[in-house]
Amino acid sequence: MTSQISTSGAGRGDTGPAPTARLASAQLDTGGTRRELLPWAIFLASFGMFPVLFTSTYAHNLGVLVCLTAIMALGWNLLGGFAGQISLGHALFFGIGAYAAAVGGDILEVNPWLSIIAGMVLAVILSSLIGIPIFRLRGHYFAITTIAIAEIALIVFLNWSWVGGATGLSIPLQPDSLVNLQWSGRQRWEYYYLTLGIVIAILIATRFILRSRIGYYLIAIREDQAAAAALGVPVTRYKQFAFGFSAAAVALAGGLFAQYVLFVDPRSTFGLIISVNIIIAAVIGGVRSMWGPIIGAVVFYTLTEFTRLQFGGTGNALNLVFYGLLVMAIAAFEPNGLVGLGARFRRLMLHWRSR
Amino acid sequence: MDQLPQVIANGLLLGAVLALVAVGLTLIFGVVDVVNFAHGEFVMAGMYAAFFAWSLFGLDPILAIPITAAIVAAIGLASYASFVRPALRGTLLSQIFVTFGLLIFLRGIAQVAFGPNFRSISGSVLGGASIQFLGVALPRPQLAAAVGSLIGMGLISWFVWRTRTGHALMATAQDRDAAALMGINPNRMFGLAWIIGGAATGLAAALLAVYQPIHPTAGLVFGLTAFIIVAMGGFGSIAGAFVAAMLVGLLENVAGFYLNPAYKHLWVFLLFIVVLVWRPQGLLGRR
Repeated sequence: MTSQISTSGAGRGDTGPAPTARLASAQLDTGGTRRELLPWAIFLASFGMFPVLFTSTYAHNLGVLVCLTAIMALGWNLLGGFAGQISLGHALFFGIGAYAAAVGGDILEVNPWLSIIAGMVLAVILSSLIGIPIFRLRGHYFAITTIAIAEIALIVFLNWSWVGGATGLSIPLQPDSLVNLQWSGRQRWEYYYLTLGIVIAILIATRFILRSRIGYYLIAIREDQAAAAALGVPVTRYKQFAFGFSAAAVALAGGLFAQYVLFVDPRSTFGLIISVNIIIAAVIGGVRSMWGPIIGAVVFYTLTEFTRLQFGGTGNALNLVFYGLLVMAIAAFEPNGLVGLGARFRRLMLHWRSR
Repeated sequence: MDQLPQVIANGLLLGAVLALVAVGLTLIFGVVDVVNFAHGEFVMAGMYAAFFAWSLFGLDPILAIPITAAIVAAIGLASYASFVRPALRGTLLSQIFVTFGLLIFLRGIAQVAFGPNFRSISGSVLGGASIQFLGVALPRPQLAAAVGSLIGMGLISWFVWRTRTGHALMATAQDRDAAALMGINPNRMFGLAWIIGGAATGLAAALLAVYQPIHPTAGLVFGLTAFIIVAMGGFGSIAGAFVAAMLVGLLENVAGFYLNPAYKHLWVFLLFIVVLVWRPQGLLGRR
């Protein structure tokens, strides 16, 4: 295989237990059907009641941002967490989605839903084109290349005058309606429940993907690509599937975000910071769990707002310091994030109780 | 076409500095087998160190080189000892996220401590008028940076190929288990690789600080370019990094001059993708 690079992670399969044993031990974290009910109940109750309990514009806005981040982190996690293909450049798809909405609204003057769906389709097409060369790469090389591709897109959009260059585009105001995807009210009920609905839809899709053959294929690819291929898993096809799914989810969030703030510019959509935010949310929550990205998105915004309120303008930069430390600590000591920490705690409790 | 010699000269001058940045990265990757995603942030940290040595103590960047090298080497060692070392035992995911976390962390520190402002150093002895040579104007800061980088690369090559410790380092890069059986402590060699990689980057940063703007996100382009050079030259190869750096420096200047300068990095990134896909082992790498 020409893409095999022995110095990187590709050679790691040489050590440790036999590949087949590891494939068999790679289990899915959805639990039994009955055990699934409790997290769903907690999630639906808390997310469903949130805007009723906290009615300020501020809280509603925060809720929308949490849901948008959860959409992106859930999408990213299928590719990064489950299939093990670490993309550090998903800002590319966020930018594509956001610009599709803005171009549709400001230049072509079409319905925002059409623009957003077009953006998702474009993102999926782009992901499958990009996937052809870069899925030959493994590990570190894949990660670096995804950053390079996102940076290429940033340079192109900064210099593309048709889409407004560095200044970006504004989406014109429309009368309030679901069709126009705009609501001018002080509170954000409509946008919150719309994005929450999409989070639920993606969660359900993720759950069924993980429970199906595809989920096991993806995890087999993550654990040992060569062994998975040897056992007959069509490796590239399923990597492409996960890449397309994540691209569509992130582009959808990008389009909804553009429609929400009615403005896009290259640096705030294609910039590295977007990829960083997606990854922080997924990694903090736990990349090997379906619920990890949701927990991560909530913790991410809670901490972000806390430091912003405490430290004002410098809070944003202070957040980076804090998240940087957190991501390093998670990578070094608990790769499964908060979900992993929770599982550890539960085992400890069970052990303590059984004595 | 009469501008071509000038463009080529600029390209080679840039290439020499990029080579030193890339050598720092390739040493860490070659020995420790982990990609330092925060490498560009190391450059940024070194540039700030040079800036504050100049603005607070009036030290010329050329005199501040030992300080910047020591500071970046210390950052490298601290990163390795704190988080990178435990993450080495983990999966690929851990290894990528640990240095990606370092990137976020260092950038955040720079933004908190120094704000988003652009800074620059003026009045260095390395500044001043260009030197005319064979009809080509060589700007002094760039020339000094290129010469300094070549000296730095010479020192590293001497250390790696002519000293016992350097041999031990290369032995660890080739096969850490065999090296351990020969009585080399791989853990110490890993730490050493981060120190030398950091020091090389600190040296390059001091030279770059003379003529490049200094700001918290200044590192990304250098980091990405260094990955590109290292991947093109073959991971762990110092000679390969040198050749690839010259190519990248030339491409950036030729494309920037004859095509739209706004796209000069775009061509480098595209070249990187083409090279990785076409020759994953690097231009000079052997399989």
